[in-house]
Amino acid sequence: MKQAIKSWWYSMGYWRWLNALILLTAIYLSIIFEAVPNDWVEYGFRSLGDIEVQFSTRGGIRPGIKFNGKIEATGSGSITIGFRQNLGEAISLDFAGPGSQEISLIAPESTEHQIFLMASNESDGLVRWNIGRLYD
Amino acid sequence: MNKKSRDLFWYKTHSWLGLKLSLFLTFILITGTIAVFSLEIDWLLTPEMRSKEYVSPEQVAWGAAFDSVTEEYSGYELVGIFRLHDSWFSLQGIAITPWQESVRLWLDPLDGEFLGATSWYNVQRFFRSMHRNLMMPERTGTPIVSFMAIPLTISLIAGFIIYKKFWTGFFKRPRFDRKLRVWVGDFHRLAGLWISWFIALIAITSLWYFVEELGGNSPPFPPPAVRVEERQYSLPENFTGADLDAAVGKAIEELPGLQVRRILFPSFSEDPLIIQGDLTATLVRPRANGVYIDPLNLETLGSYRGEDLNYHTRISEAADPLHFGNFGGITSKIIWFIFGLFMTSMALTGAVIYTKRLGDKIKPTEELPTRSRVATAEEIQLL
Repeated sequence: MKQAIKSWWYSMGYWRWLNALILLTAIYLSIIFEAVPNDWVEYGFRSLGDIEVQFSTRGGIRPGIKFNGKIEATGSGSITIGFRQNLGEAISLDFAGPGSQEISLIAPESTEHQIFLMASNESDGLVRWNIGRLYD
Repeated sequence: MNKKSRDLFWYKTHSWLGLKLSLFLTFILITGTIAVFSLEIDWLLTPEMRSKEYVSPEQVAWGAAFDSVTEEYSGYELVGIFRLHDSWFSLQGIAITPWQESVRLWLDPLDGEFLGATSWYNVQRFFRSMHRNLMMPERTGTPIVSFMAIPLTISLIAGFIIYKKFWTGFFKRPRFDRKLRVWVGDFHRLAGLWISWFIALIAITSLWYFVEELGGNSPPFPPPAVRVEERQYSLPENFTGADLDAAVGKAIEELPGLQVRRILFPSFSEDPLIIQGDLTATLVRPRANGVYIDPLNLETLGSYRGEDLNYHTRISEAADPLHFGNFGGITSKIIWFIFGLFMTSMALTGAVIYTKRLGDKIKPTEELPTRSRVATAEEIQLL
């Protein structure tokens, strides 16, 4: 069998490399396939005290799995970010001025209800974004 | 060119085309063959896809299904609800998550009960994308795959030319008692004869796909005769399942006998609701019969039937059912799958014949000489 496969492989001549290139590309692309665009998806601005804050995500969001997020702020201040379902894992971000910071967040395990990302500042302002209901 | 050199030319063409791209061709053929039943494989692997009982087309709870989706996944953008070809499938909703991921939502066709959400990427999607465009962007991958129709067609024609008196070979049993090269050669010829119509069908439809990729795609379906009323959102805010049921009723009124298979929700505020399905035209996709409904006032804006489409569109619509083998339900799928397996075996047995013939001369660590060997008349006859 091994000999037969070898014979087949060599019988294709130099064309075997074109065959292999196309197949390997296809297999690689099937492994990295994502049904979600690799761009930032914006969830809209919210007013948090004197500044406007926007939350964005990139890639898929799965229960209990880390995903990429980004917070943009139009001014300075300290902002705490976390999911209502697991506020214990909230993270603090300091903005010296307008700008954005990329963050990694762990999505809640819940698939029964919609999940909300909460953002608060030092003066107890609180805003939220509806991320939607997750699925496994 | 005398007869001998003409035969030699066609023999070399047949073996060269079959051999040089045999790995790629085998891959395309095997993925296409499995793709015939990829939806059924998903059905086996995904409990949510299984309908609990038979539901006739008239009984399908489109409105209740819509209400379930909007209640369970209110943040998602619902693209459409689809009834798949066979009655043992649940209704399929396709939606886009807030993070812009496509997702499948499964619903009971009898009462619209939400059964579960699954990833867009499933067995069917894997085999469809792999077979159709090698997982590459469609503009790149589809021309590469569909171009293979040309060597396939030439190889088929060459096969008939070099197989002398082929009509006598339909009932010649392969000589399994002989050595591998002989019985594989017999099998290659016998299978080739019986599936030649299938190879021709696959080659022609693939050629059509190639033509479409070169810009020969069919014109769009007839647009609505009347514009939709201006509204603020793509779907009116108070649009409910009851409205959807009323819209389905209007569609059936417009095209009596329409068996609804697809409901496409508007993406923009100026888009209509589109209801499509099976009617009287044969060898067309469900989208070939459609009704446009204004979601604001549920007025019918226009419709089209498969029979009314121009020849170009009819050919385009027929290509998929013929290529996929899904026009006759599970029966035609079984036939397409079996013939697909035989077609795949043609690529493999062809390679075996060639390599076995050169077996003694092959040095595995070296490149095979590609031009140094000329087939004998005896070999041509054996092929």
